[in-house]
Amino acid sequence: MNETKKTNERKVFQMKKGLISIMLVCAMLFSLIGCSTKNENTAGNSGNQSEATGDSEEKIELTISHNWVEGTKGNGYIWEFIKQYEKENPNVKITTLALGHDDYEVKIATGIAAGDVADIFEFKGGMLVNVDRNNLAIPLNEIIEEDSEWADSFRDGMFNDMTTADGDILGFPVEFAVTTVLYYNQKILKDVGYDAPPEDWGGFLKMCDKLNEAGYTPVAFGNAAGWPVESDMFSKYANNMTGTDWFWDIKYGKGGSFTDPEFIDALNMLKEATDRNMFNEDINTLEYSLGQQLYFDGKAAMLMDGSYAIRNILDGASQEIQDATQVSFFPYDKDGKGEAKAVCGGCGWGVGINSKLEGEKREIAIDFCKRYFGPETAATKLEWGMFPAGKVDDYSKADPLQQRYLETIVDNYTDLAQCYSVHLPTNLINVFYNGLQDFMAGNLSAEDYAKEIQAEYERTELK
Amino acid sequence: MKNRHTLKMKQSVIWAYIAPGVIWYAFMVIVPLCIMTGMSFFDWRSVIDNKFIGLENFKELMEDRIFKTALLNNIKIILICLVGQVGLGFIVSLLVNSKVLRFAKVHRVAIFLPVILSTVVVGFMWSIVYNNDFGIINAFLRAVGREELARSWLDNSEQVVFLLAVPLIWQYIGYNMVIFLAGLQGIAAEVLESAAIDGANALQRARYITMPLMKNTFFVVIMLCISGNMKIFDHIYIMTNGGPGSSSMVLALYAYKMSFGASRFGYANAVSVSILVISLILIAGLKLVLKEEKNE
Repeated sequence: MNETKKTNERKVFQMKKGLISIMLVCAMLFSLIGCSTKNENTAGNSGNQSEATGDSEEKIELTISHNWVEGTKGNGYIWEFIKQYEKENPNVKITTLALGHDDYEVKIATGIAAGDVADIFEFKGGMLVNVDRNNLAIPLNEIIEEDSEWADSFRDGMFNDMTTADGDILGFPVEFAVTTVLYYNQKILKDVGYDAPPEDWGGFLKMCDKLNEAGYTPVAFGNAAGWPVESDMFSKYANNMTGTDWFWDIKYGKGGSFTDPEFIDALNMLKEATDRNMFNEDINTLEYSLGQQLYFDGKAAMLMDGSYAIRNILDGASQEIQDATQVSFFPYDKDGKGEAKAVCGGCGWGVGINSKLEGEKREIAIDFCKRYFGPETAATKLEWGMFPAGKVDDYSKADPLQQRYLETIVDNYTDLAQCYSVHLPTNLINVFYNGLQDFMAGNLSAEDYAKEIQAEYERTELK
Repeated sequence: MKNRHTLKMKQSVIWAYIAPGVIWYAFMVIVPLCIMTGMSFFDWRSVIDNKFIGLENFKELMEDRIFKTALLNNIKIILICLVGQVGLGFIVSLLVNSKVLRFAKVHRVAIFLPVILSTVVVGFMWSIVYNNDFGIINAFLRAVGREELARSWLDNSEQVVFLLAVPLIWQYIGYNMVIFLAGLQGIAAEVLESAAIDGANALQRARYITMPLMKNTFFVVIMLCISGNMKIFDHIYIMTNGGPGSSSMVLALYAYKMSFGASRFGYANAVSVSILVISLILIAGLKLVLKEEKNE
């Protein structure tokens, strides 16, 4: 009797075991099927892809990669434009691959090195040498020559950052970005007895001392990524001391050295600013956006940032801070060779068309870019909080802060100087970034830092 | 005779069973390792822009200021974690295993919990802990009236490595505790009981009974600690990105920055090869020391 019971129990147990095994296998299979279905969807809808329009006719599919992630006003227009373009051209389907600025920069630099880029791809000026060397983008010279009316609709110098040493233009200018704008909270400045920041370097440092005494951080900065200090501040100090020609000589290997006294003076300017506590103490570990937050919170009196910061101010700062924010040129050391009202900037980033595209696909890609970056959208972009590379005369539809920037800086700058990271190759800029924080922290002297940059510069092929 | 024959598998069958694993391992580990080593002899900047430069990358490494800092930081982190992760892990496991501790299971779970957290989450969490404006450390200092001590903790280039090691210890102490607990449970209770009867106190039992019997467990834990910390990346990438400057740079992060930041893939591979070689030397050294002790 007991024997039979045991056998039955064993059978039940084995049945249960078998059942559980089958269930586990099914679960595994379903999850695999789930994964594959999901993957298919993701492949078709990578990023925040715009909705498909049109019917079942065969579509021409294009991919576009950029760093305008949806969520802020300024980044939103491209998404709207794609939807509109797809509506107007039902046979076109555009798939977007978008990532935030820093992540995208890493991804696209790697993609360019590996020779693997989207059909339409955004890239930084510093990557131009690699794009050219790997033959990844079609030259736009013919397009520009054929349609001079379209080409003339851009501001002067907008194609500079996208032009190779041989004169090939490989990208459409994304925006006219000034990387060195001084934003200041007029209310805070008035608290310490100033209406506007002094234009001369010495006077500016004195004002910073007063702000420190009053308990404010003079200039807010988040430089964890390395590029903010280089792009949004140091490029201007360097231009102040070296002048613009020195930089072009360096860029094309025609002369000049990073160990030149002018460049060392620029580094010392930055060191002086750091030693005089011009910035928040945690400047080198604070994220870029968290640095801006200090200004938004009214803890910092000024922000040294690019024109792109206006979008963040409009999105993140209270109306009170927005109203109190005024715009100015950087302070200037009159012993330098650069101009007082020089600003660093240009298009910075450009958009290239993959050289592998052929036939109708290539034509559509060109048409899309010509329309998006051309005069047709310039005025609308201003309304969206962007700074189009195309000429716009009427600022009335822009936000008041944007208008103050355009009237003070864009209408009055006298020289368009260059931002280092946009023009110098990535390996050289990386040495720049690596040493910059050590230098600011006092772990590296200006001379040794300059020698490190020069050593990498000598290893770099500039063409 | 018949049984022996049935148990003995054909050579071909054995290989057929092993093959999928070996092939998988070869393609996922061995082949990339070989490619990486090969690439370290090239000035590899892009698919079409690369040239053979022999040992130039390694020569440059020897003089590279940041590489030296990164190596030193890795060694510092290993030493701190040997004390923190292994030492404290052992003590915690003894406590959790002892009868005096109440709610042992609750403690075990609480200590093990950080292990299952994503390193990115831990990195973010601790960067907030250390934050100047809203960090809990500064909030505490301000609450007890010692505001002058509040500062931006991770901005101090002399202390940053020690501060970064704290979350590493906090997160992995539970991992080591579990390994130690498994080792402790392998020790026969009679041995410890007879030692207790002979008059050995808790410390003496730990020193003269438990530790010698757990030599192999220690070896495993120390080896994991060394290899884990030689390739440490995520926490530091999230918390300081190697900064301020290069004061918290570690080898894996430097390799990443050289490849994806500077597009110097050949040089980055030379850094990676050096991580492999140094790790192997450290592990071999450790094995040698333990072997000598065994022989004695």
